[in-house]
Amino acid sequence: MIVSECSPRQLRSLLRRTGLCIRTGPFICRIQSPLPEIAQTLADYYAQFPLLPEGTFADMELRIFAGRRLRRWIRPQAICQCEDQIPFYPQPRGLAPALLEWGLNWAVTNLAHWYLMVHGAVLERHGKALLLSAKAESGKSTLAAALTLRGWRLFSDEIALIRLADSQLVPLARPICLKGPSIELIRRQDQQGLVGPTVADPVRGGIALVRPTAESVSRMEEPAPVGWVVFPEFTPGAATQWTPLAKALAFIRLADNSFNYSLLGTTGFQTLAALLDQAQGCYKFRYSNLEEAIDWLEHLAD
Amino acid sequence: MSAVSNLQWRWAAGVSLTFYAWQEEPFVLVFQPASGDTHLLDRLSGEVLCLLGCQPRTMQEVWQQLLAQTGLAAEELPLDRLEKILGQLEQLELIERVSA
Repeated sequence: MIVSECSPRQLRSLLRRTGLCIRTGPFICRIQSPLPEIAQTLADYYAQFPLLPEGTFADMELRIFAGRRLRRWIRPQAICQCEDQIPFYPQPRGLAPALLEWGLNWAVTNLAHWYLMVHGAVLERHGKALLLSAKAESGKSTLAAALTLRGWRLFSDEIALIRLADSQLVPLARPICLKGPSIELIRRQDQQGLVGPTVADPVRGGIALVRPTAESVSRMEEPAPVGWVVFPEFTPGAATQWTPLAKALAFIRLADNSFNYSLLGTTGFQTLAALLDQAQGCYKFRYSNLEEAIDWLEHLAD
Repeated sequence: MSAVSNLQWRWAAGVSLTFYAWQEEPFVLVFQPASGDTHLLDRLSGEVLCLLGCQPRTMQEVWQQLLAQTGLAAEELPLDRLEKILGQLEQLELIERVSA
């Protein structure tokens, strides 16, 4: 059964009562929420995701609920709870869908230590994965969205999930979270209707989610070896520029961008080394023009 | 013989190291499980560290061994360069001095 086979009423009821169990990549997530906008988000962005029976053991549990007391009515807020922790400050209620994504990311990076996890976007084409690793504000979600619109298979826009056994990249296939000016940039190229409405967010200049393609979801059990490791850096006004990087230097950058490299000890070291063994090339990549950037990344993969 | 020439170098007590390098690159990655640190070393420093993992050696012995292994002439690898490398590895707490 998939989420779209549930009526809106059933979705709302499940979310309110026992929670909705969905599978995203290798994880089973139980989501509970009395908020209708969370039900709508799941209907809109997770329609093709597998829905699991009530009572299924979940790898992670997430609750999104309304702010308490006056915060239900005055500047309403939404709160995210993962397991028994509240990892973020309450957010404006309109950001509840984004809070769901941030909460799921938080849960994965804090709980799934049977993977090596690196801060980065991952996409696949012709059987090889492109790992775009960078910290926040470097444009990796924008690049991931633009490549998704060009037919690349989306693994994740935020977390590169690396399997310890063979260093293959594992898909999550969840929606991309776009912020600020990149939303309209991507929306202009979107002929498939993947970009959702923009939600006001004064801090980030607006937020919009991008639906993963049906192919990304239907093939979310298929991992891929890395083909290229790219460290993007969005620099306003900069010419498109790429510089090959030694694998040992790429290793240090990836370790630095990892959520749990240190925690995994020698296994983390060996997993990352094996990942880079598979890579055909590693690059530093500076850009400001999205079209040029995408052309170069596509050229890399062809 | 002076005290200095009797001084030997070895991996620091309790240190076990994992090495990784790509053939065409001038770097060696060294992972130290006890501290969780990953070090990026040049090839020569990696070679020195590797030699000291086999057995404690004086600087002279390391130097002789390096010259034999690499085929470098003595003037291409001056002793003061080796001394500097040993000092850097000591600072990283990867090696320590012991009396022979």
